[in-house]
Amino acid sequence: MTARRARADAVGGVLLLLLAAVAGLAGRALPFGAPGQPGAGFFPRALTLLLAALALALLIRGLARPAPDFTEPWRDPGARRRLLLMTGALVGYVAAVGTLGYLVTTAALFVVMVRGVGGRGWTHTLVVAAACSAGSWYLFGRLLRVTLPAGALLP
Amino acid sequence: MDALGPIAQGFATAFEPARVLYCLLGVVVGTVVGVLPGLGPAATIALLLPATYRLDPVSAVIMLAGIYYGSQYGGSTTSILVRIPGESSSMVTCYDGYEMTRQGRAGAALGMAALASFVAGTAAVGGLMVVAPLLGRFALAFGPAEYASLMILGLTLVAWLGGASLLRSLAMAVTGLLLATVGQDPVAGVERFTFGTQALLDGIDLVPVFMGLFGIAEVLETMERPPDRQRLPAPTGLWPTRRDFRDAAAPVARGTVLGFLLGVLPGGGATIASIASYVTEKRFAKNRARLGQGAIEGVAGPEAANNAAATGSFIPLLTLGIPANVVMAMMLAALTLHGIRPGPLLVTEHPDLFWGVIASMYLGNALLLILNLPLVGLFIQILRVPYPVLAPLILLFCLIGSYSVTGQVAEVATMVGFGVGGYLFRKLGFDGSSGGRWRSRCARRSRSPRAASRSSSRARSRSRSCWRRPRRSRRPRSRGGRPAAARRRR
Repeated sequence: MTARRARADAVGGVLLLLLAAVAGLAGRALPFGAPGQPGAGFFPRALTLLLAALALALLIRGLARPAPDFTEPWRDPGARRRLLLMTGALVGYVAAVGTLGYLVTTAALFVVMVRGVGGRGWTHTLVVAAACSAGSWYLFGRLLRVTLPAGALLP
Repeated sequence: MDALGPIAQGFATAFEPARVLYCLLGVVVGTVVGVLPGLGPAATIALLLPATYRLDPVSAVIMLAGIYYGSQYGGSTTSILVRIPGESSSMVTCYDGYEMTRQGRAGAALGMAALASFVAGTAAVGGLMVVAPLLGRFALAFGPAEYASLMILGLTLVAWLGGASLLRSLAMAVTGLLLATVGQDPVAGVERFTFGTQALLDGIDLVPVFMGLFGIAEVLETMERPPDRQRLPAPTGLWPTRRDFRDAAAPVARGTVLGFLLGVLPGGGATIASIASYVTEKRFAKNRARLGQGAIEGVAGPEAANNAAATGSFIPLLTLGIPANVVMAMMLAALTLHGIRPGPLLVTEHPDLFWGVIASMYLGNALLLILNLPLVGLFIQILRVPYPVLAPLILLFCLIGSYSVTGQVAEVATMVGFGVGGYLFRKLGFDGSSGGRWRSRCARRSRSPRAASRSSSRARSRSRSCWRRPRRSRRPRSRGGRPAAARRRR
């Protein structure tokens, strides 16, 4: 358990170092200002440095200890498949909703989740997908007047 | 007796049949708005504002106020059942509320949330009556230096109490601060980390972040298990146990006072109050080692705090004419629409409105309790929906909730990004709520028969040491007399 968390520290440290590096690069042009009159870059830069120092400390702490595995849940191929499918479905939703519209993309999300991830039969999947997509569109979009994503091609 | 005259008049005003109906309408709409994603009290009040034009001012404000505090009741439902905060003020309820659901105690959590909300809401209305003018002046004395100190104190407490490792908590707190700098600099107007996109100009909104970190990350984690093992356990009881009531009493009291005071401050509000209450419970609750693992204190305290804050935030509006948050700004608009100028003179110029609205809050809170307790049985039926269908529904709620913030797909993308990132960091043990091994050991010890028989002062010092010296968890324990069952668990 100790070792697992140690490795997690190292990976977390690397990820946060990357974030600090991105923030450092993206914010390098921001005016720093003077101590008495901080500019727009003062706070971001101070935080970036602090984050980098903390990430480095995490990395060192992680490396200083033995490092076996924290990826146990991902060893099962079924779990990997489900996680990748769901992540893919969400990314696909974001990419497609602007073009295909709410109804079609939401139905597609349900098909992937109910059939692909949940392993239900096709009839069940299609009924649930159609009912939830159209039902939520009517409830939120029409009755409650919540803004829903509208596609370039379809509602 | 003179002082009681206007109050009695207020009750008479609020209890007129038509106004009771408007109050009921307000709290029902508020509860629905709290449960549903994408609809917040501010947006709902904005939508209904033109419809109140024909009403008399007292009825209009009674109804709109009901929507606000009613939404605080409803917001906890989805936090507890599916780990999506219905309102941002119910975010911390996700931690223990959802854990209770996983343990088959959804009914107890929902029931306690409603009861804590009622107690805090009613007590805060009492506070509103007694100390409103006094607290109004106190709120004005809070300047930038005080706010900065409050913020630093909050961050330090969160980092110190946030999880098993101080280093990780600090790293997460700094990451959060860095993300908060995204968008236009409020002083100079310079763009920071917007990468040339319009969507990031206003910064990163909290709603998609919460929806991602809680809702999406939770569904992703459930996906690790095969579909037949994903279902949440059926709730065993609908009502909190006697022990729950005992454990929740002090957190509710603390949450009420804290929430009320923080609600009064301009810029404060229900969200900050609920977080502050959770942090306080992590420090002071009797079973603080269990917080994050399904402790009733983690539901009762924050739910009390957000309701007390919702009521408290009426003080600066009614007594000074200053809206403490965006919902109060909408209330200010409603009052102005009816030709009423809130401020120090409101009590003398419109005593019927001032005392009528306050008296209606007693009625509203009672109505909400009567409405919400029977709904517990209905809401927990959600858990009977098979997870392959429930999971995309949760995703759908998150997608709609995020999109409705600004009506841009970028918000959905932000939510997905925070969902996947949040899941990854949860796997790495950076999740403040899960606490890690040391805390769970503390919890086991505090539940063991031996621990229960020890003196309370020793228990306190031991429990505190759980937080201060996490390294000790790795030291082998060879103390004799440990219960056999506890030894086996290790």
